[in-house]
Amino acid sequence: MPIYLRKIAIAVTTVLLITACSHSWHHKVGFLGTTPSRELTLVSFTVTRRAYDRIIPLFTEQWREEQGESIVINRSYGPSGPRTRAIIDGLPADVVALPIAADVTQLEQEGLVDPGWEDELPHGAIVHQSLPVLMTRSGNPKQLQSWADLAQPNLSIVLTNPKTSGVARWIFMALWGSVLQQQGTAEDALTYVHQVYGNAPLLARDAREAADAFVNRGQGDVLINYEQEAILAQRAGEGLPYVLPSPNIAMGSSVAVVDVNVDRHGNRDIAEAFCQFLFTAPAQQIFAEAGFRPIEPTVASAFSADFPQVEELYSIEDLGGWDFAGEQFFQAGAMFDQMQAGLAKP
Amino acid sequence: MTWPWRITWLYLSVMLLLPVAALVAKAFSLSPGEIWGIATDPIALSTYKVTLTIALAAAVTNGIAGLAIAWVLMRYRFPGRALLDAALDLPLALPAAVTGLTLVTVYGDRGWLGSLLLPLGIQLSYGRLGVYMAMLFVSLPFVVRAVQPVLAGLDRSLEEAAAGLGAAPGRRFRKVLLPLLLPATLTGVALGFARAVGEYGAVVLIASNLPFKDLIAAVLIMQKLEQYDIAGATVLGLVMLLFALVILWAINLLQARNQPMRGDMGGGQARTTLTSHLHQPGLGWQTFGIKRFFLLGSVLVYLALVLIVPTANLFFQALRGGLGPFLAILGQREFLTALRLTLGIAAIAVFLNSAFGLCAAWAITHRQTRNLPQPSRLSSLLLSLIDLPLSVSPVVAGVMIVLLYGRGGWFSPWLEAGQIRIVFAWPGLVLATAFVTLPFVVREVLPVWQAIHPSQEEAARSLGAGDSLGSLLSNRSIFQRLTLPQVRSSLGYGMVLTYGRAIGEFGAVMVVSGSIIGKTQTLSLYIEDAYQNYETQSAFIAAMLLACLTLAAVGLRAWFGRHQA
Repeated sequence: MPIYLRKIAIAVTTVLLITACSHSWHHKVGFLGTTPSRELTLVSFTVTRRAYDRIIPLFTEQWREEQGESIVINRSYGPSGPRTRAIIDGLPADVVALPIAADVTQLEQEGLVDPGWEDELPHGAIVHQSLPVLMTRSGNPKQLQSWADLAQPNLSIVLTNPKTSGVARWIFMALWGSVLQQQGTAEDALTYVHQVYGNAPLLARDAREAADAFVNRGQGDVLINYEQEAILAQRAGEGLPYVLPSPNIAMGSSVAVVDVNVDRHGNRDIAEAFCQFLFTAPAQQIFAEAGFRPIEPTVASAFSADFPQVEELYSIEDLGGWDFAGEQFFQAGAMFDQMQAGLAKP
Repeated sequence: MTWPWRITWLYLSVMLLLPVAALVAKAFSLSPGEIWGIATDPIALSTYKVTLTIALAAAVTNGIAGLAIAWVLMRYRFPGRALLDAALDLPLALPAAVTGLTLVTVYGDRGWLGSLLLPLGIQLSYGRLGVYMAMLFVSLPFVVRAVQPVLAGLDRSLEEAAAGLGAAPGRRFRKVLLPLLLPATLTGVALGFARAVGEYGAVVLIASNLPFKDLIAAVLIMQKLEQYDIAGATVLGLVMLLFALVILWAINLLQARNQPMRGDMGGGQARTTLTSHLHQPGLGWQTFGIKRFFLLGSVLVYLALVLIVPTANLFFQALRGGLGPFLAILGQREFLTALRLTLGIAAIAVFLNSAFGLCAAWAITHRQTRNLPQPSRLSSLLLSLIDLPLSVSPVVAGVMIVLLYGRGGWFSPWLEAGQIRIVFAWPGLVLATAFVTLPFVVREVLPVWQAIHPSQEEAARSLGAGDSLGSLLSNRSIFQRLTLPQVRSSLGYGMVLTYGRAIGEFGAVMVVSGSIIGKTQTLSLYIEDAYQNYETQSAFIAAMLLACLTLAAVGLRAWFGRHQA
């Protein structure tokens, strides 16, 4: 065998060996015969990472104290749409935390989550809430105070694409609802969202990219964002001013046990206990510290200074629910597509 | 059929044809009317136009620039040449998301270059110009890499003869060099075009993604996927795939027609590679003068704009927090598991695709032993198929694998019965990575074997190589002593490209990974995760390490090359 071939073979074998060794070292416990610890996989949307990375150690510690069993909780964070898609395609998620109930409904339709999941947990399985806010340049030079101000001409609004992002669907519904909740007709609402989306210099893929475009790249006069992003930025001392307009929509995130997967993995007890744990005061406090509006009353009142009340708060049900919204606005060829085609044509 | 052909077709079937078949089947689950409706929707039509014109513009720009870059790198000596040469592979290795992030930091309204041009009324980001810049970046290496070996093997005596006969430098270039370099340049343009058409991650961040303005097909496909419209996404994926296949096939046919000429030139190549060290670059010094510096200058300016400033920015962003955060990342468990997974997957992909690449290239060049009809057309179809993974948007590649092995996929009954997990586990990551890196080894090895005259092997045979032990062994001996050593340099380079692309792959891996931290999260997904969590510094540090891993591989290849000489 020529020398260079031998060298290549040695290099490749070394890499494979290192990989293999470190891998088996990692799972040494399992190899020595002791049973490996039971695992649970949590799939959640990106912005919740800060909270769940702190809640999980609390829960595993509590489980170890109460049950005498050490468990491992795997985490997968990402944009909610692709993550939901991945679970449908076979990602072995045991517990999901998703920004819109419609995503969980999707899992229900695929037979992965049993119907009635909303009733298995407190508060309709909504674990925390957030509100859309208007982030402006410092000093709010355009004097934006309400939803209606967004329709003025010569304003540049950084928006996220509802086709790809969960929060963007909420924002679209908030814009739509701001007209309907103030006794506007569907026709008025249509004109209004046309004007607002006509003011968008770009449609970002998700909330993170929208924030990047607004804060770091100087795009736009105003950004519609999650309240918790605005709070965190302000706490970090680099925040821009934000307005909490009224009426506003309460964006609730849902959690659910993926029944098919927990039955296959034999960890339903852990999954259910974990979901319940999310509604307890210690977990709710972490959510609140991460900028999400807590759902548990005692924690909510403790943090009331951080989360000012909005005069008129409504929910997605007031606008007909997600099934209706999906059909009307977001499906291929539905209103959002028509609006895009109409806006862009010369 | 000989066994290399069997291996070639078997591997291609499993890795490429089966996934594409799944894609086609999924698209045709819709009625013809629906398919037509999706494919000719006004928004879709505008994305084809935007994607194809900008990709073509970028590929042609890089065709011209790449020729000049290859020329400067091969013929000129200047400080930093070796580093620049190595850095040219970075666009292949950087994860698309990192590329996008880097480009938008440089070309954005507040970026190093974007802020300089904004007062002149030129906005580099959030428009078609931004898409063009991103496509320039990702398609940069192809022409340079295709032209370089040809230039290296060029018989200098041709130029000297032309000069002796009184041809001016410009005329020498047009009449002597350009015809010899044109086939390789065309290949490079085709590959660059294919890559630009499929690019998603680098473009999505720098574009405004508004339909009719700068929304490209790959982004539209991703948008459809993200709203569960799999069938719609596959229809668009298929349309783009057909565009790419037709264009690649046309270019490969053009190449096949040029082949006799390449064979002759290659004869020269085999000779001159041995003697090229004897040639001094004196000819260039005396005849070009000012033009020479003008060329070098413009090449460096172009590279600075497209490659050097974005790369420098990446290193700057990664290191501006000092060494502390850098070491913290190196010690982080999540990072280390991601690194280990990435390297393991890349090693398997390199091994698989090198074995396949050698088989396929050998099968195509040694077709005189078979009796197949119209061999050149068949070979160019085969080649176009092999090139296809470059132009398939990686996200679509991931979807194909999910369609086969995912829940409800073609193989799911057997996989579930056998409790085998392929997607959202490492085998799926290997499949996705091997798919997107399929063409590189074949593409590097093939031209060398094509250029070598069959008479060399016949000569070896007639001289009795391994004669006593029967024909099989004799062939093997020829293969080991003659055929294989000829390609060791290009095989090494193909492996480096495969490895570089494998460690950086993002789109396909994103779909099949599930990104479970510490389990299926690769380095590029780790970077995306860090970016999404506002840990931009960590993202840049990990990206810089990725870039260094590629540079290390390029260096390692140079080391191998030196010791075998």
